[in-house]
Amino acid sequence: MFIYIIRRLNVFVITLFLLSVVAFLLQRQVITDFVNTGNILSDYQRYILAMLSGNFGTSLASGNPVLTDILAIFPATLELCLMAFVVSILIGIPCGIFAGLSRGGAVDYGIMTITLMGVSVPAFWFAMLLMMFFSLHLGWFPVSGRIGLLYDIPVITGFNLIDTLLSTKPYKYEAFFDSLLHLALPTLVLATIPTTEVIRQVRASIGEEMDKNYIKAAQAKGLNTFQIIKRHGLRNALPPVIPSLGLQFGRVLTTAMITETVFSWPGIGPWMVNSIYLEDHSAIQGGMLFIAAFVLLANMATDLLHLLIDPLKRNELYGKS
Amino acid sequence: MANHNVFREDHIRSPLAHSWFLYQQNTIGMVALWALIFILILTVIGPWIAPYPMDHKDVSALLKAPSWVEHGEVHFFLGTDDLGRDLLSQIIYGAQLTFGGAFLTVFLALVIGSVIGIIGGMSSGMQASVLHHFLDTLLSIPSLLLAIIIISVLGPGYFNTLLAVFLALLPLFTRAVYRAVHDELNKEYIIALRLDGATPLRILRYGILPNIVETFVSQTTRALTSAILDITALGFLGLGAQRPLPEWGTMLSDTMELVFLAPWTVTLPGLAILITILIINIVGEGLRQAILKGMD
Repeated sequence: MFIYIIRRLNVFVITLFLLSVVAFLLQRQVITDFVNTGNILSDYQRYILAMLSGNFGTSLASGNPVLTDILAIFPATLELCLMAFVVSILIGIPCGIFAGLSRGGAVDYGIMTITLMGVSVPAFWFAMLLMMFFSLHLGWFPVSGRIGLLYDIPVITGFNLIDTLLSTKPYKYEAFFDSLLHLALPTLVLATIPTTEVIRQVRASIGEEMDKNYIKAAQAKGLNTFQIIKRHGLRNALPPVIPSLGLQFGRVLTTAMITETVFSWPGIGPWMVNSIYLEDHSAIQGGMLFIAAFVLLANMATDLLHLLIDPLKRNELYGKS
Repeated sequence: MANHNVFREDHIRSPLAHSWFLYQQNTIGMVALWALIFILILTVIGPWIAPYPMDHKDVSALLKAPSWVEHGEVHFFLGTDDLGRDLLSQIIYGAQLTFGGAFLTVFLALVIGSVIGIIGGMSSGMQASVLHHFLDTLLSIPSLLLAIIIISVLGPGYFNTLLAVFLALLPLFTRAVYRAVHDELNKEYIIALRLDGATPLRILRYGILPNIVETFVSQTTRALTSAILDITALGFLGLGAQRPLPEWGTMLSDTMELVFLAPWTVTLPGLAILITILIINIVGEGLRQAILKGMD
């Protein structure tokens, strides 16, 4: 296990190194204010030292260090992504189980049709449709932003849901529900991708597990379907779902950037797009490195989590499969 | 049961012909296939059948509703936008930009990516290892983000979007083909072929390629949908095609302000994207299933 973690970290560092080389070469092409001495190696050395000390350069648009800007807005994006994952798990696992149990049946057909629609719908259009129907037509949800303008919540963690509860303001519960309402539509849009993935995976692995002999043994013992699923089926069906969920993180993060643009969510998406309009290259590059590094980190974390949860995977590692 | 066959030998179809036979049994798949062919034809001959020229603006018909709504007119079958442009014509022209662009990009990426993937997969040692890790790095960045990064260097524009999507798709194909070839190469029947003295080219032609058709089909489906989604998303963010061009995503970003006034300008271009991707997914999934069954 320890050796595996070291190996995984090694791959992570090498990937980051390659990423920094690509970013460096791009920067040499574009940015002129970076003093080039003509010697690539010494330039790269200075570049990587600056990066390692957290100096991503100064944003031309805001005048702040790029890292400060990113850290200020990234929690908004992260909050959205995490909520989307929570929703996808809450919806995806039960739907996947129902579909897997009735493979070929009407329920399965219905769920898979909806899943196919979910895969095919462009996120920004879905967001606009939801906005049109729920915000403008019915008026149930706010159109844009993270929280109503009436509430003044001091930033502590950057996650609005936590900040509102931590604050000492008298209206903190109202503020909490208001930020929940603001979260609802963007989360729904963002959750479509991981939800479809969870449904597919759970459906496949439940369908596979239910044919196995230990399930028949459980049936022979007289357990009902619910008990079988809860005690036996899910324990074996869920672990393989984890890595695929982790791999979705990158896609969710980029989709979040689009969703944020539609809902005027003050996250990293509008910030990046704006930086591209303004040709603010140090901001673009810093944002890109930050997002890519974050995605890599998330992938590594899910790999390790999978290893912790799934004993079969650990066996594979030691060649005992 | 009596065998009425006069000939001694049964006619056995080749696996691919059998897969095609299986696919024809799939009604929804066939409908989707015909729809796909229809979209392809529309993409090619669109400019000749669109009712209005691409940049035609009718000032006397601003924000006309679709023809089936009360105030709609049949001259503007799907209605018009805020500059009096006919939506039907715009969507037909857009098919060329969105679907046609994605199709060409994916085709190029398929050819070039497969060649690199096959070369990488057939080789071993240092060369393969370097390629493997390099691709891992590129694939750890989501395709849309990669496209955005490339756009940020090249600058916004329709051609740059296609180039960015192409570059973002390339590692996807290379990696998948590389994997498939590599896995196939270690199987026993390939080793048998090699022991028979087959050259690498012959092994590739008769041993590997027929057995990785499924990879090609599923990757092309995935690439085509993600190319359309990426092109439209970039258009929507204002980083792709710019407005006189009726790219579907660009059309949508234009109509953001019209959500309340003219909902059809939002729903119809989006519906075009949704239906196209849905059809591609259905055809791709059907073909994949048929090929998998045909192999058995």
